[in-house]
Amino acid sequence: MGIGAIVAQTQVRGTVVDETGEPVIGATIQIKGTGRGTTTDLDGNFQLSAPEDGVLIISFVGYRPQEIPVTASPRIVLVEDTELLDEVVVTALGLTREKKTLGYGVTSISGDEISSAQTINPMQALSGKVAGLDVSSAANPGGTQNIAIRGFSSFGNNQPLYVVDGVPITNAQNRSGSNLNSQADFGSGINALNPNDIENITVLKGSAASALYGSRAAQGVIMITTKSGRNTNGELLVTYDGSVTVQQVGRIPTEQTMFGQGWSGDRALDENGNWGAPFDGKDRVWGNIVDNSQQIKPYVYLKNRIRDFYDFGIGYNNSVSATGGNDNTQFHASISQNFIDGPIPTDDDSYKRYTIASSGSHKQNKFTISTSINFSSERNEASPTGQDNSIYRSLNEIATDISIVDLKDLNNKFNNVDNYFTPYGMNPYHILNIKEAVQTKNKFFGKLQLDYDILDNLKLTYRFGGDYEATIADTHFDAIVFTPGSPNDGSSNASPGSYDQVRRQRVQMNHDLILNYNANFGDFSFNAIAGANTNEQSYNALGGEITSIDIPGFYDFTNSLSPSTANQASSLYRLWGMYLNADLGFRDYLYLTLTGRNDYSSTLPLGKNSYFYPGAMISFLATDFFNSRGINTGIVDFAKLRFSFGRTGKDAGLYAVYDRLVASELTNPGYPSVDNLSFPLGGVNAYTVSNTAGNINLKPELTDELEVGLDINLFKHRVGLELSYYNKMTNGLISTLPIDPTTGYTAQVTNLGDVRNSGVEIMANFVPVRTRDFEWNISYNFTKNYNKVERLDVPEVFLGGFGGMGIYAVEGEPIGQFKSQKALKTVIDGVEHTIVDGNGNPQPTPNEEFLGKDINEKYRMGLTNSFTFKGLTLSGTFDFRYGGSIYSYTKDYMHWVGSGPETIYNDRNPFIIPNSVVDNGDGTYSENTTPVDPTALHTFYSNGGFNYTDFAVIDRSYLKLRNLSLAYELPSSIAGKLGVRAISASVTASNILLWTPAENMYIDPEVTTFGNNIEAKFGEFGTNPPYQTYVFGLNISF
Amino acid sequence: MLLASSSCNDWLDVNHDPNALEEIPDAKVLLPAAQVGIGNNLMGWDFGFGGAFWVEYWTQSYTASQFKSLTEYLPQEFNTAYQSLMREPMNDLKRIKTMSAEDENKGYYFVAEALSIFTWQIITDVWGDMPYFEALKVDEGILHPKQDTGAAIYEDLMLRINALLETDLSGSSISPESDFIFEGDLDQWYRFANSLKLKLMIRLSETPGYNNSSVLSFIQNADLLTTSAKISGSVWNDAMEGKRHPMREFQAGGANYFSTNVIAAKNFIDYLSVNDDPRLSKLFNGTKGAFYGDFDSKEDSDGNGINDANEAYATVIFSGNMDLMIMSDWEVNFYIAEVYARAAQNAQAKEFYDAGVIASLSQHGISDTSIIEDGGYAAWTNGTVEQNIKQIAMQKWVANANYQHIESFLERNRTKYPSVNDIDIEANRQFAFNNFPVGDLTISVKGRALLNGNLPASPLYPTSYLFRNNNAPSQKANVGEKVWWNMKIGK
Repeated sequence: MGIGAIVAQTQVRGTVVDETGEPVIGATIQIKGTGRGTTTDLDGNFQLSAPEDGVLIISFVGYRPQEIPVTASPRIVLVEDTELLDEVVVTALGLTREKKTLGYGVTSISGDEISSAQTINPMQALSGKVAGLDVSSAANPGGTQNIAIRGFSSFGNNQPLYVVDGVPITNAQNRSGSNLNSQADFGSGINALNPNDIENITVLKGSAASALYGSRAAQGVIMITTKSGRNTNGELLVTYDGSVTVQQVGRIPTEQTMFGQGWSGDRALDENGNWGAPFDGKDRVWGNIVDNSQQIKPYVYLKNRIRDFYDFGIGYNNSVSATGGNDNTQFHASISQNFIDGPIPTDDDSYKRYTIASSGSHKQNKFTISTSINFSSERNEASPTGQDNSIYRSLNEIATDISIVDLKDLNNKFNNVDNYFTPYGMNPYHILNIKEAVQTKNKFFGKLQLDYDILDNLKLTYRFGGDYEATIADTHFDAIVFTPGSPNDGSSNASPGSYDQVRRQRVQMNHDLILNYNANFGDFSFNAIAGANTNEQSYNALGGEITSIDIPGFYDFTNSLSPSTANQASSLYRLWGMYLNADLGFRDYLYLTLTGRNDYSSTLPLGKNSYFYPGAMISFLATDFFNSRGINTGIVDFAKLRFSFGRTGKDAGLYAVYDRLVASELTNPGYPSVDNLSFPLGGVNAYTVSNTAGNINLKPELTDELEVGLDINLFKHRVGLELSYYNKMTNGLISTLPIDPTTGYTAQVTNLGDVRNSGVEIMANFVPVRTRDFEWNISYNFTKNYNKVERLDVPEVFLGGFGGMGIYAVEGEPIGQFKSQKALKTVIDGVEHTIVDGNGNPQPTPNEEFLGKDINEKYRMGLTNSFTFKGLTLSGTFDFRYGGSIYSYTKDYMHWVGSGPETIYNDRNPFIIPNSVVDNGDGTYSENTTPVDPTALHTFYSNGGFNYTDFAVIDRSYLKLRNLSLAYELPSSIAGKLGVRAISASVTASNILLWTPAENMYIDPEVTTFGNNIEAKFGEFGTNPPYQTYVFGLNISF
Repeated sequence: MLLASSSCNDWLDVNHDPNALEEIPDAKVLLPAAQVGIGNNLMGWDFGFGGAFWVEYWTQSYTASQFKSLTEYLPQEFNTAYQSLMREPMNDLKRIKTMSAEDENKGYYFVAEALSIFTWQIITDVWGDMPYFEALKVDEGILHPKQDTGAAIYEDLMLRINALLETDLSGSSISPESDFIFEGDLDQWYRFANSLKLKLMIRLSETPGYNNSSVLSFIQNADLLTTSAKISGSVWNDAMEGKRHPMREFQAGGANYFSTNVIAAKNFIDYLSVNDDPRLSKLFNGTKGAFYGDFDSKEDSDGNGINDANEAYATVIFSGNMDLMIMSDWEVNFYIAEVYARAAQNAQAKEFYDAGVIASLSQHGISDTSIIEDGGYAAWTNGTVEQNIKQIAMQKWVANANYQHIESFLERNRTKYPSVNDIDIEANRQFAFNNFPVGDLTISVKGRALLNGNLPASPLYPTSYLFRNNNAPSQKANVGEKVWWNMKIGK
């Protein structure tokens, strides 16, 4: 419904033909400044009513768009466009450039593509769509998205810089708990963005491309442009997007189905394991005897008992946006509401978000003022994972013959805390009620920008960007108390309970002052930019906790048996920089760009905190070059060669320069419910020299990257290909060097090594069929990254994991080498033999050893097929990753509780480990004759079976049907009759199919419980299962 | 331009952690952390549990698995302890010494140096050859200190203790509240240093260079400790996280290791119960012990109708206000007794042996000393030198329980008492139960094969040392490797 001034309308009846006079079928006719328009019919004819003084835009794929003033019966001749790629992209600092002039690879994803993926987090929509981009998503709604561009060049944070409308935004992840214990992921800053507000996302991958953003762009940049106002001739365009989401759990691990509850081979009714007798189908008693009664059930394997624990998750989303404006003043505003309650019963995994976005601009003479203001309010409830009585642990502690849903009634005397069938695990339904982690976050970000045209070709821009976020995270775990004398009295699960609250505040302020000059001299075009930038980021956190809960269900620091304790943290970071950028064009086929930036950072030693990094890029348009010389390029519509060299510099983390003394805390191992010993003690306070040594010799980390590429379009743009090769060397990588505690310290932040990433990226587009009504589009991307740690100052650097299993950097090897104990082996006559101990079991190597496995994929590919028939579009994206390894605690744990499918070797009858020998102690070996004890199979398998700890490192390859969507847009004639401009409906299914190699019967290899640094690639530690999502969407434009 | 750049530098000069200090006014604020840091390791995760399992005070319960690998003699490094000792107390002690080296008041320097020598001895006693001369020298740019032999470390520690004992402490003082151990009493610290010298000397009793007569003349002339160097149990707050006695931290607050994972080993508890030792009820709830390192028994070894796995075994008692021992009075008395015993001066040996046992009993709050009186199982027997050494060692084994576990392990390595009985328990559990060698150690049922029937003798090198230091040696083959002074024949 148009709301605005009444303008005289005229009826237009026109025809669109090509240069040969043939009608162009399906060409789009749009009234400029509005969303209104139509398409041509089989004869190339169209009709619509348009304002008398309006302008029509006529476009069709493969042809150059045209604008004509409104007349009654125009005949439009469309000219084939051999320079289709006059595509304009947003580059560093929010500058717009024609893509063809760029000397580096850049990928842009449109807002439509993002909103059609129907994800809550915009980054999830990039999965499988961009070469060189590694996106892994968390299962929980509102969880963190991990993104790495062109491999891992850092031992810590590999996240790119996120820039929204030219302003960097804070994307820190908030969590509670730890990697191993009670971990809850509350998502990161980018979650605050409503995907429907996005106009497009540009991924700057190379150093040359991102250098102008300075230090924090060393890992690439994700540039997001939000929707802004348009000239609608005063009309107000309103759009509504709504959807309903249904979620269910995806992969649940495969279990063995032969043996049920018990331990040591015997049925035992209080056990949490499946080391009991084989299933016999007979009715048998189970659980504890309560009030002289006991329950009876058939002794059989229950399929889907874990899956049945989960519900359908339900969510809905409503979003309304309005756009309007005239020549001088434009405005856009949107509001959205999202709610999703995931498949875990109760709202233990739920996410709520409200967003408001508004942007406006006003131009008067030489002066333009524009703003963009965004607000979001989120509530994120996550189900803690890992050890310490998580839902995950509780479910896996239930023997495979016990129905889980029947444990739901907590008033049933057999299901309560005292009488639950095992003292080793907790009733998951009870955990749902007593263990929760919730974060609320309010985030406010935006910009104010002033542009002043000093001269026609000299423009001054000042941009102020701010980002403020405040979070409150609450976690609680009620006390678990067993009645003395009850069956479960004495269980290790007894706990006094705990409650904590952490408030975090992050503020980022960014100023840019930019002078932009352009001129043309004969065959040359010239554009120059000089700018200055300051950036300040502050962080403040305050937390309190109580470690016992007196009255259940009341979460307050006073409700405790001992006083509450508090802790705080704060930090301040500052940087300023100056930059120059010069673009030089020659005759529309040769473009050269030179950039340089100098940064001064607060985190480097004073006086040595300045660093400069230059870049140079060349783009050569071969087709234009030949055409300008009158040479026909045949089937080649477009060909571009590009070369770039760029350097980015990166500063250090906070507070790494000076030696520090900190409040004393004495290390205890980090097991659940074990705290470090801390002062004050007995009324005395104490300090200790920090475990991290200062480093006054820190230097900036410099990354040099060479990139060459070819973009080519063939067969009237039916085939498009973008190839890139890059070679990126990071020198003097700044990271925490783990140092020998003999030195008195265990860490120092240093320039400890050099890492090289090189690789190939291919993006290809095919249009096998294009007719008036039907079009088939194939888009394919391929990425191969080769990573190598070229220099390291120590034998190895621990990057992530836990005691006994980790990933490491090692000189000469790809980053992220797995290391753990292995089974002791020896080679006799060319055959590998397992050296067993006196019990016939494998024994471990004395130390952890490298497994020859690492986290890196050999390659990955994405394939999107999309079919359009009239208003109907069907599209699907496959995401395939091959190679690399991952640690799975789920596998490890299922070998402990005996539900792992690999634990029934030889039907659990006695067996001798094949090719096993006994060490005679004199360098010789004799054949082993001791079988593995069938009553100690839990020991055998939980130690790793035929292997050792290394058995839980499995292949991380997978193929996923990332996204399948069907969308239908009503013909505009029908929509018009309904009184709306456009109406469309869609169904989208995400992550519904997952294929993994045979050795991974356990997990979705994308999941992690290890944050969003490189450690995230280590694996999972008892994570919740992944979710499949179905979204039913409706979009209406008024 | 100059102005601009200097004001920009001011604007950038914010890289100072607001939650930490860059300088401290006085070394005394470091001392409490160093003292408690040593104590927290002596009875912490690695030394507290490792020591107790390896001298067979305790064993792993049948229904849990946390300490299985310790009791099976699988590879252990005690990495947590090494890392904590070096980066926490040792680095703090070095800072105290650096800050107070030039002071006229020698108090802080003296205490820091004494504790430093004390801790170095434990480190080399536990792990053997370790980096020493190049340790703690990041300020000199040494990130990869070279390894030294245990013998060379001992030689230097002896030089250092002798130099320290030259110090004139008159006119020096330390503040009582920063000294958890002796509340600022420097006379006690001087006695501590003398006792430490005795400990350094006697630990080498089995090495060829040991000269008992020079040790004898030292103890006859030196003022030695007569009260324990300990952190009083009154400093703990058992109701609060992170304020507990180190062993209590693994039980209270939901960790529950003692109620679920730790049970009495038959070896120790039978020795106490057969001999009616009054300390049994202070150390354990219950009197039944399990075979050491036995997890998968499906038998009923004692024939009482209950399978081994389901027996109600004795559990360990730690109270919330336990003292944390650094060097005990029984320890010093037993050393003195041993030196006299080796010199065949039995009367003096008995005097100090009795004093050691009484010190242990009184630490437990027991005034009844009948066990050392005539007819008591621990009464001095005036045996041969070797018998006397054994008698002292057996009482040390008992006294150290719950107080000095790593010391108990080290002293057993030196003296080889309690002895080891080779009985193969798994071969016939009923026979083993009925003929249990009370007062001996046994080979772990599940770990029997791993060390060819031997006991663990030292942990592996800590990986934090091995894999971060370019000058580190290759790893030990297993936990059976002996340190250099562990020379006495026997398991």
